[in-house]
Amino acid sequence: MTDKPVENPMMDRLRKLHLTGRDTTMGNVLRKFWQPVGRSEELKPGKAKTVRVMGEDLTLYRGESGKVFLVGGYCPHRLTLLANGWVQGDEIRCMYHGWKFDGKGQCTERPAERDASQPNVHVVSYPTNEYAGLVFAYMGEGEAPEFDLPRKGVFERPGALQFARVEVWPCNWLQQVENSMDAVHVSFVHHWGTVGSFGAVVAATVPELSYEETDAGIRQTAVRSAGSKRVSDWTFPNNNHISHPTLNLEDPWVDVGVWMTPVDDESTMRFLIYSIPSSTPEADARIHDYFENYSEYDPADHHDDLMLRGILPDDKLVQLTSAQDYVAAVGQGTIVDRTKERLGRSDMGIAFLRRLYWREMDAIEKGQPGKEWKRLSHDADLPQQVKEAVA
Amino acid sequence: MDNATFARIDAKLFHRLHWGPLDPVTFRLNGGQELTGQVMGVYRNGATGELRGGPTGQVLLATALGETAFTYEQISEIE
Repeated sequence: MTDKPVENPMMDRLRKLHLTGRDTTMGNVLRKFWQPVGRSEELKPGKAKTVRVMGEDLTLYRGESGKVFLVGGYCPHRLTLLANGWVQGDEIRCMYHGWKFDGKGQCTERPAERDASQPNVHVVSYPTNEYAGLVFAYMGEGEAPEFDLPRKGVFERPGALQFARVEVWPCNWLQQVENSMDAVHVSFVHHWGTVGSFGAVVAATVPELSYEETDAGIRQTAVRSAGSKRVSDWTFPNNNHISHPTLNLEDPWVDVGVWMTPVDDESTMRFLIYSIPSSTPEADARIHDYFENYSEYDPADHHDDLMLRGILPDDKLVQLTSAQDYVAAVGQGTIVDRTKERLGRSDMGIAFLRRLYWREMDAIEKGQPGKEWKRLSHDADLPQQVKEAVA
Repeated sequence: MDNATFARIDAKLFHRLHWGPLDPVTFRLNGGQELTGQVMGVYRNGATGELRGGPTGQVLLATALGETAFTYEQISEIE
């Protein structure tokens, strides 16, 4: 185990790593990137819902044209929720006194004011983009960057089976991100209680770990034996991409993209895209039925069973994998105090990840441009995993 | 590379990356060469797992002159 320094100035940077409010440095880092804020399928035309993202209460709605908009959460008049209003065309009308706002947040109507002008009344609005079943938003300053970094070739395969899910965990987003940059956890967390499809391909032995900064983030390689090598493609600042068996070993493997978007500093939306190449009609139907029946699951709905009673779901893939990670990350508390950790050399990935965050945060604080992150250019950089013999 | 030397270098590197300043990292190599830059990659065998054979490690460093790679065996000090 490495020595833990006594209190020193470096610890201050540990204390602000997880903070995501608009006035925080990490909040600024996260807002420089497109972030998933909802699922496409839960937003039918003419429907609105309230979402909270990085501490901001917002209204996500789909206009009658089919376009999705993200605007402020409350009507500025008497501050009631806009999401309870009516979507009319591509605008939304407040249910309280009928004030109406367009997709750019501009007030276009105040029926009882008998005043055709709308003097500087507006709510915030953010650009959106739909991709692979998720709605992404850009909540940063200035013009939105091109919608490129979140994209991955595996989520754009013609004919692939694709499913988007969301879970909301009662813990800070960074605990989930750090979990994905810590391949040792797989040998223990995913062997906890029972071993599912994911844990089965990874022996319960501690891996050798290598880390490399890429154009997009960090490539993590975990080698457990000559036949077991897992590579994951972590994309800055809060997305991971892994692959693992789907339901049966002979099935095509599933590519899983996970975004950990802060609701606020104490809660996190965990958006997941599962993409499986089409194979045989029978396998496609089986996989489709599985996701239809089992993917509407949030371990937070089973908190006491998981945390207090050790009762895991019967499912061996989506639900089990999430439940096991949930127990580990939520078990750290709502916001873990990183100044009290006793890290070891096996946490090199955590060190690598944090240093990268600190570097980008430092650039923002100094008013300098950070790294220009970009999508990996070819499939060789994407996750791969040599199958290990499964007993 | 013997386990103790490997562990010393590995621990120093971890400590420097996690607890050290954000300034570029300086590696003093056994031949007297000094390289300073940003650590872009750390590749290890024998650090955490159960692979057979002696431990090995490699660092990928982005210096002002470009990327360069060297092994743990070449490192005498990390600052």
